[in-house]
Amino acid sequence: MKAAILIPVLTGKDAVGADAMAMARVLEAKGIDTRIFCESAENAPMPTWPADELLDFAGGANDLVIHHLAISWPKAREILKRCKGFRVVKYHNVTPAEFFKDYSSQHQAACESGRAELPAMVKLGCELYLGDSTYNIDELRALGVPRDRSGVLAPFHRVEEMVEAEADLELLRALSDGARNFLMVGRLAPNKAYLDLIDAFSACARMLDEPARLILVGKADARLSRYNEAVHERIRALRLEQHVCWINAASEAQLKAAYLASHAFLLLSQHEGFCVPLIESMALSVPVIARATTAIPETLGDAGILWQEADPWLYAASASRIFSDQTLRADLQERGRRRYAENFSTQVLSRRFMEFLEPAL
Amino acid sequence: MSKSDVEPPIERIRGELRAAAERARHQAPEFPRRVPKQVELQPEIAPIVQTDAHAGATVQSTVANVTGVVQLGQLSQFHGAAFVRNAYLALLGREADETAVKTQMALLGRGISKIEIMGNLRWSAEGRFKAVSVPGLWPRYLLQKATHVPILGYVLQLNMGLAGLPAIVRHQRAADALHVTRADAIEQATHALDARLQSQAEEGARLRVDHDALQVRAAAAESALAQLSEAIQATSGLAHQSNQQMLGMNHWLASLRHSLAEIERLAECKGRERAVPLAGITDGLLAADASRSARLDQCLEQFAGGLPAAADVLDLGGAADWLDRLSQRGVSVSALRSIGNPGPVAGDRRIAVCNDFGVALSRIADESLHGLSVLEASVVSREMPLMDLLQGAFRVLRPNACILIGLDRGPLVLAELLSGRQALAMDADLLEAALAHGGFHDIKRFEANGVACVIARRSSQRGRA
Repeated sequence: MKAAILIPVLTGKDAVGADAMAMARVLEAKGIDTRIFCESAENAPMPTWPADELLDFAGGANDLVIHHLAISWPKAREILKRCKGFRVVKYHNVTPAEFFKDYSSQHQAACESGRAELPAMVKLGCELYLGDSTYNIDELRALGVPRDRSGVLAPFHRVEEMVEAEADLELLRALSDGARNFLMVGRLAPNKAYLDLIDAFSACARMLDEPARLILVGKADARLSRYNEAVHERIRALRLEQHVCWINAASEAQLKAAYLASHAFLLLSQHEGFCVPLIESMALSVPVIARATTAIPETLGDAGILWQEADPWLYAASASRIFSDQTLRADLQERGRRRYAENFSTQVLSRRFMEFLEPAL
Repeated sequence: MSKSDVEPPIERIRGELRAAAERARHQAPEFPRRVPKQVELQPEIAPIVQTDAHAGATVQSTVANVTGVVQLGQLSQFHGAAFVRNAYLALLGREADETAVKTQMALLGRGISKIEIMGNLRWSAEGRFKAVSVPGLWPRYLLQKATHVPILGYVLQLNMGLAGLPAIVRHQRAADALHVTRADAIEQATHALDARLQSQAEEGARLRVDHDALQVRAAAAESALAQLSEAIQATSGLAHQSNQQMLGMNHWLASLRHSLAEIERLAECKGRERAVPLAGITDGLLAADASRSARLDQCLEQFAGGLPAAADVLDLGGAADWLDRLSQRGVSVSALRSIGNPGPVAGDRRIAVCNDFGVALSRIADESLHGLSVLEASVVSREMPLMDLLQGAFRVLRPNACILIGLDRGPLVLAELLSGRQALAMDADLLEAALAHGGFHDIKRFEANGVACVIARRSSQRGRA
């Protein structure tokens, strides 16, 4: 038996890339010859093969092919159609196009095309469809994926490597200056609702009697310069230039330093298929205050404070309470650590992954 | 279980948080309104400023905003690495990694035109997948590729060079002006760098001073550590010495134990030597005592009547005819006899010889016996005081077990008389009083053919009955 991971672009640092590479490692560890096939790779620490060669390697009846679906890629459908073995589609969600309507026609078109491909992907009748969350898999089930051929498998991640890694001490020292640090990790994109986040942070800064800082860790997408400008404009309008710290394309050491220095994780995102930074916060004991949209409540569970509304003052009041109520803070941290260990540790995910693949092995 | 026990704590304080948010909202000024930005769908290249928080410096990086169409002029206005990075962003939609920048910079260094580099990216596998439209790039790219054709390419380049000569001269002048401006900027930057280096040098000097101070402290710590190590070594020597002394004491104690055992062995031998001739005389006297048999039978009736079947009984004194009677009644009997007492014991497994009744009794488990008999208490009490005997009996007897104490004139009394010692003068009143005090009840006195005996039962708890 051979296994192939099929992904359009393999990126070393993003969540989908991390999931794909971890799956390959787990399969390799089980003694299955596994390769990753893609169109292009960027900063990937594993060897990759051209997508066109997948059928020669793992197109047989006894083989396994896992496709990571997150953007439009018609070629994947063509390849899966010709595979004779056990086919798995791992759905990471496609951001709804309307988020990009005012900012980038290219993103809008890509998302529309990705969403338009979903019914065809479902029509393929693959042997198994997996979603990062119930929120994700329900989208495919609504399109006709049978319940008995679908399930939820949270994405593999690099949290344990980050916990083990050394933090950037220079950055940690710079951020540990007595100010209350609020953290947000995620690419600068409209669905992450950075404008709401800036408003919420502004309320926090006004409500607290101590200096506050918002640490933004995320890659700025050059094609979303209008959105980038809008976010900068909002920061200027609220006079927060001195309170916002941007870390663009952070290294693992910088990311760990940011988590270690932070007192709360603030998330107002409007669309998340899973949200890996939430489990990073849980593992590193950073209390979470988040907006209860899409898959966020499912990922966070009872390990943080969730609000349906985007009202900035609710987030500010929550932060203030977390900072003043040590019992609440300790309880949220403990719940987070426990939730991570019980649901999202690599050991748990590896076991669930192999259980899903049992019919093919 | 109340609802508050299962609810996460946040659910309980949600109302309080809402109230706090409401209060804060009323106290704070309103948020400025968000002004929606005018959306232009024309392609543009817009510089944005990103602050690298780690370095604390502001990095000016120019990036392209691509909406599916890119104009040639927008990209070619950049030079060097900025051109390469913008070309990757615009045509492939991603950042160029370091290797890519190096490779493309090497091509530029070899005189390859920007058009050719843009064309290479646009019609690469990845570029075709992204399919960004660049009007006018395709014919220019073809023309550039044609210059690589032998001879024809040379002619083509020559013609293109001649045709473009006026523009080249103009560009050269513009380049001169640009270089002068940049040289000024570089000079200013160099000055700034010098200032920073100076500051770094001062910081380095300060660090060296700190380093020296730390070295002094490290040396002091090292010296303290050495002292500590010496103290530990000295203490270790004392411990070793104490250990040796302890071993010496152990040897001395072992030797003492051996000596005591030897003394005991000699005493036992002496006792046996003395007992053997006495036994012959006492046996003869007892055989002549016609009433002994009747006395023992009466004692047996009184004693055995209160015992359960297969009872465990201990006798102190161990006259063989008494033990035989008990055995015949189905009692499991054992006896303790003093070294100095007469009578053959070899071959009689029921009888154990001991130096000290007290020590022998202390080896018997608590509440393990159904009965205890002492027919010649006047002799046994000389070797073990009566109250100690009763205390030991109370411990080894089960609750309600039977004890028989007699003042018989048997082999022990005879041997004492023959050895020149005298038995203790005791009477039944004394025995009764001692038993009552020792925790025994149901105390009965009887005469066995003229010999006073007392029988009693052990109480459940110690105390005067």
